[in-house]
Amino acid sequence: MKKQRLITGLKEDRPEALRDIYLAHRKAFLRYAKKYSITTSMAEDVYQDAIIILRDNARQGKLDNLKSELRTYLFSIGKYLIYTHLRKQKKVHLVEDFSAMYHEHTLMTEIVEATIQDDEQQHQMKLALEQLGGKCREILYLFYYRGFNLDEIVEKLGYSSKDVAKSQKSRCLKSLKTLVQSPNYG
Amino acid sequence: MDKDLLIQKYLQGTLSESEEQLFQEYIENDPSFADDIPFYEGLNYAFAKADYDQTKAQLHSFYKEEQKSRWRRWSVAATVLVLIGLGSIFYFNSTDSTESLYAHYFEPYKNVVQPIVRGEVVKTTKALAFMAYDDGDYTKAIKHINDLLEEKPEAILALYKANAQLQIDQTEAAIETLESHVEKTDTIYAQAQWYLALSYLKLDNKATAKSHLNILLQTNSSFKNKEAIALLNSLE
Repeated sequence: MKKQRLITGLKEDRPEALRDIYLAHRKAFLRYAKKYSITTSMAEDVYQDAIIILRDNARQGKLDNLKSELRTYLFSIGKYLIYTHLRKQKKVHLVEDFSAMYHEHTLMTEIVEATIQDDEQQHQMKLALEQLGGKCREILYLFYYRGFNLDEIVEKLGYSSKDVAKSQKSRCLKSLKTLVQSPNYG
Repeated sequence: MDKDLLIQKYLQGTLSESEEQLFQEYIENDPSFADDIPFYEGLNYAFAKADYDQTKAQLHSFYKEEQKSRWRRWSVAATVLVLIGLGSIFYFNSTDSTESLYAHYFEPYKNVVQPIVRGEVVKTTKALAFMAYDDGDYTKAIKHINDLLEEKPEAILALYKANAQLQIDQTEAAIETLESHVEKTDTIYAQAQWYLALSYLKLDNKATAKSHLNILLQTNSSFKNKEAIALLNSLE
């Protein structure tokens, strides 16, 4: 089934799956967005964000038992984002209750807006991650950000065992902490 | 439970109720655990942002690609349209020019066969035919000429018939008339060549028109020689 194939492709970060979904609904979404008073470039931006949220939700397994069409799901995210955007511009008074939708989707904007650290700390973390080796960054990314378990990490990164992966993760975390505390600006 | 796993679940937002309790206990009782939480959140945020930026760039490349292929499709379509446009300009221009050359050169062959004397009571078919011809009633003229041709096929009659046919835009029929009735030995052979040339010109068949003009110039007749040369030049 095409829908399932695309969802699996998104979960596995296949660029062609992202591309197929992006191209498949773009025109229709831009047409749909014309109903609202947002610019074409804003609509494109919103559409891209909706695609990213769709991808993130697919990764988290939220789409595994999706009953509706991908397009319907994508459009509901997009519609929500348009309303969020318009609300920010005070162009729309919130008459509908979006709370249900709000809980349904993990929104990128939520993550981005939930600024936990100040700019300086963010910058340090960014620098530290850049200085960390690629393999270390990958294992931390998969474990903390993507929520992979050790078995999945072993399979994805080709470690000889879970123990090796686990000790590697600890070592990388330690390196990162050191780098964050004393970033090498040179 | 493994603290690392607890932190992972916290970042993923997938802590169960009991895990949530455990998490809170650690926060309260383990200062180093609590101190590390902002670090992990910062890590998570950095990954989220990097992931977002990267995917956004990826989508933007799809967008660019799409715009480019759209542009390519448009440019192909535009090129085709321009070519069709240019083609039709040349086509219509060439049609126009042969058409206008025809109009410029064509004049119906004068009635030199049957001087019309109006007021005659009894009219022969020939008289009727040329009366109609002179009056510009070409359909009627053709009808009468057909009767005459049935009686006696004369090349001169065919020439008038062809002229009448050309006047009412029966170009192909005119060609047919001339080609089937006029022989090389006929006195009006040169005239026939002239009207054949004009007929083909009207059909935008320049090559055949030219060859008939050349035949005309090879005859001893001086009929339309100047015009034939001029017309040949403008067809080059």
